Amino acid sequence: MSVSPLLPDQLYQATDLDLFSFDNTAQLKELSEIIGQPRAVEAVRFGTGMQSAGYNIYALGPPGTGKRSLIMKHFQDQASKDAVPQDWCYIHNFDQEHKPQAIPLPAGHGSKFQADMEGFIEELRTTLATAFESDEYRTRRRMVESEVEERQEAAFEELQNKAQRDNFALLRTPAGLVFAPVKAGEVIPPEDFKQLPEEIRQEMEKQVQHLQKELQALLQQIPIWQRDLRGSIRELNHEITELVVTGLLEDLVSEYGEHPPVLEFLEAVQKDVIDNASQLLESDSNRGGGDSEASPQAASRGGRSAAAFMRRYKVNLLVNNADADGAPVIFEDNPTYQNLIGRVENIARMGTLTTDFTLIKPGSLHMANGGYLILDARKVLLQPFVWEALKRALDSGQVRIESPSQMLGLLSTVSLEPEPIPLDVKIALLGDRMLYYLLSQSDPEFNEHFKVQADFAEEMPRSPENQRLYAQMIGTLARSKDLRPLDKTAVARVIEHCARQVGDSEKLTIQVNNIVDLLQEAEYRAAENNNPHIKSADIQEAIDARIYRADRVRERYQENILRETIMISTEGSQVGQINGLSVVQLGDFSFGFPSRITASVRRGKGDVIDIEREVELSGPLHSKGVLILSGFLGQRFASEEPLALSASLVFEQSYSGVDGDSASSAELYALLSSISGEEIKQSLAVTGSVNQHGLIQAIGGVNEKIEGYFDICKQRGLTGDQGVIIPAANAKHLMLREDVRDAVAAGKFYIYPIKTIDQGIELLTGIQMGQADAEGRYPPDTISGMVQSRLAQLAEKADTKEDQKAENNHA
Amino acid sequence: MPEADRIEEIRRILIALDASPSSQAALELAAELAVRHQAELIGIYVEDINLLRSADISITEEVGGYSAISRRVDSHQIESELKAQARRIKEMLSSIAGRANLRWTFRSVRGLIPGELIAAAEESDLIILGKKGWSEGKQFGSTARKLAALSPVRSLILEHKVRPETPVLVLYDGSPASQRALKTASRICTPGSNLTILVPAEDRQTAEKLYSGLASWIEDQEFRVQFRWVNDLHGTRISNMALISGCDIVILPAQSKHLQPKALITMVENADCAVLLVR
Repeated sequence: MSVSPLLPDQLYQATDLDLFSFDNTAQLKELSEIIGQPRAVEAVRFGTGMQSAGYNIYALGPPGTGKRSLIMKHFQDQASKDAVPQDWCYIHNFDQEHKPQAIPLPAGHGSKFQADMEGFIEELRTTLATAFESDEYRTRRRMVESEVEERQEAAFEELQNKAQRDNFALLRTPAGLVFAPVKAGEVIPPEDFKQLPEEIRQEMEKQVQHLQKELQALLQQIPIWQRDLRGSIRELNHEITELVVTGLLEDLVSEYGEHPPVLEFLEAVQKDVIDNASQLLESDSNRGGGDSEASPQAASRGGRSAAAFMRRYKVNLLVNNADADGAPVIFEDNPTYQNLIGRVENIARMGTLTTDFTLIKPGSLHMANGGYLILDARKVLLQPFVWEALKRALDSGQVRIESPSQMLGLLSTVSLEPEPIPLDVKIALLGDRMLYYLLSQSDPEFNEHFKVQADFAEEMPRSPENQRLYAQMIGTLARSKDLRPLDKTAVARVIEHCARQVGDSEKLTIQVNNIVDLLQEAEYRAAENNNPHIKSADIQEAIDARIYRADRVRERYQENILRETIMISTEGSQVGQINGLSVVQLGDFSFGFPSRITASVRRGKGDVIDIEREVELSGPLHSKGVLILSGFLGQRFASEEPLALSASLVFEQSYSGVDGDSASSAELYALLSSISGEEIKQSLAVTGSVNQHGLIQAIGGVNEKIEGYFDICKQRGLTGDQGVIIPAANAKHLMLREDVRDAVAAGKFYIYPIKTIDQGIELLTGIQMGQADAEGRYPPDTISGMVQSRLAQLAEKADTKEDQKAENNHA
Repeated sequence: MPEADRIEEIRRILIALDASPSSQAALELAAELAVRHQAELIGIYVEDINLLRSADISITEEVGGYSAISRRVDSHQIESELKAQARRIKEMLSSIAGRANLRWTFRSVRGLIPGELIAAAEESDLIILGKKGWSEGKQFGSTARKLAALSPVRSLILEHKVRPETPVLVLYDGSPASQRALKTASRICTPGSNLTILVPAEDRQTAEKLYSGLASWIEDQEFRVQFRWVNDLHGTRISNMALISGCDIVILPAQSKHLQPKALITMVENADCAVLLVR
């Protein structure tokens, strides 16, 4: 049952150049479709077209599989057929200042409305100023004021005349007024007054008291006259303002007759201007105080300037679709809460933060409203509150601008509560599979809102047709990145590299970003080599350079083995010792290396002790592999009798964790060698997992493992009997390096594909595993026979010991 | 400098002060003129002797200007209130004059207001005072009236603020007094502003004769000049002309055959703008 080593052409699936009819990629047509993603394409097509609620898309797959390009393309195609969505404006709410109103307008009307209102404000200022500076207004105002002034003056004059007739003067003191008796235009000196007869003084006192009462009545009347004056001026201002504002708004009212919300706003503006005419005028007359930027809220607290006051009549054009051609497609690359939901900005004035509706800024949900929005799922989840806000918007079908602090009730300053805007948007989340499954499992609302799963594959079959499409894609990528064309052999080499990337000679990776990187690096090499086209050698140089940049750790590891700091034998034979193979993944670079695995046996109760597990250096898969060994030994050699041995297995000089079951076959060989006492060839390394029946199962990283062992052997000098034993199921995954293939071709290195433990042990020891006869006995010159014999001996010793113990107890 | 020109110079400005808004407006204008003519500002505050006397008469009571509540006061209280008012006014003058870097003095005197002001005016080239309306008491209004009639020097009487660089209106009938008024106007007008010369004449020919007599004088001035002819002059007409021309200051000769003293006083009392009477 000898196993033949693989032939050189079985170690590498070279690309058939006859598949290609071109010389270089410049001759290839542009590839407009995404290749190798039929499932995802169908899902995205369905998700884009499906109008019902909740049919948003979650594109799951690793980076570089074309998720964004595919979704963007489908969204853009659909968006170009969709109607242009409405414009949205925020306007001042005259009834509730803190709740700005949102009004929709047909696309393009928003900017016009905004400009119209700006024009109105400008006109209002000048027209109002002109009206209030007109002769008519001034004359009428003066008449009103004069009327009151004259009434006051007449009353004072009358009182003064009356006092004069009675020989009294009305004098002004710092705090008020007094009546004093006069004689010849001067107040009578007090001493003269005292000389007057009593009855005259009493008469004068009565007169003074009478005059004082009249003066008091007059002074009490003054505030009433002043109030009447203010009322009359207000009425006059109303009349003039109404005339001005009605004339200014007339055109706008007829122009926006079909938009009731605008008409309501214009009506409110008209009323507001008329109601506040006095304030507008007073503040206007105090202009030059630099209040032009004051917010309406600040202004409403008093002292508002005309400019600040008139901000109330502005229009904040939140979403402007004037230049849109179809529905919007937005990719939000920084989905913070405010970037997504929108925000209300503040301006600092006199050390206080103030705001108003003109400071409301849109988020990407506003910008994408009526169209499509693409978001990165990981970023959405990493940003605080964004995921909840997104779900809330989708759930309620509206975007409500709320600051996070406001949402959490932490903000106590005056802020705005803008009216929510109805939301109609198709969302695509881009993310990896793990996030999708986590969200699906942990968030009950997730599946309600993202009903379309677009699963992007990492690889596709390496069929002739796909290889031709691949070549076309390579050409398209090269063109899109302004690279020089690739010749046919370079394309072939890229395809081979892409097969190696997925560790399968029959598959190709679809992670486009890796291919783009390789092409760009090859372009650099081609430029250095002055090649008009990128050649196979340029691709190889790029691959080698990339490996060189990443393989410092591998080099150190290999150096340690070559200097025998890490003990690995590649020659000779040894009992209970074998070369296993491991793979280390460092970023996007992985490499294989040999590890010495040793086994020791002694009499015991059938335990196989995994030392890695005992010291908690092994993962669950490795532990599982070791436990399977017990199953194999028990099933093959101790189906009738208990196993009377204990065995220990260890990865020598392993100081970090071990996981995976790919070393389980190696461990079994070491165990069998240790039990049977037969030596294992150290020139061979082994990989492959084993099941309880002794069948060898496929493992990952086969190429790296083979190359890792080959590198050590090569540096020590190939002896001609070195090689690697791999599972036969892994043969189709082989895409080995050229130097490995050359060594195999030269008969200096061997790759043995095996299906069973029996084949493996024969290769390693040169002794057959052996077949059991009808009674379950193995030939004594086979490994199984030797193991059986050793186990029997151990069992016998154990029985003898048990008997002695029993006798002693009996005695 | 010819003697006549030196007489028209403004080197000392007397400003009559009390705490009224019109007095503040007067102070601002006085400071501006003082800066322009590098003149000395002399502030005067008169403690009204009539007021002090009245406080000691047993039958008088003060009625609060705002509250209308009557209360008994004595001369000590009034005296201290007047002194406090004088201090505040002095501080105001000091602040305004200090900002403009002016030479200034202030004094507080006791007596009858018109008499004290007229006496103080003797040592100045121009007296400026605010005019109060009837609603605020007639006392200072009568002071203005007396000053308008009896002031030995030019007197500028105003109620409201005067805009800087305001256009000026002056009455010119060819008389020596009106010639002095014209010279005063040339000192009040700022370069680039407008001067409206109102010419009262029975016919256009007489008026044009008066215009042409001023042609060479006008050429030397840095302000714009325009003439207006009126054949029927009275106080209201002057006020209206000032309003139409947008002038905040009207300059009138105190003795003019076209303006009787009584009409002049009435005009000063009723005018919205500031009136500068030139003797």
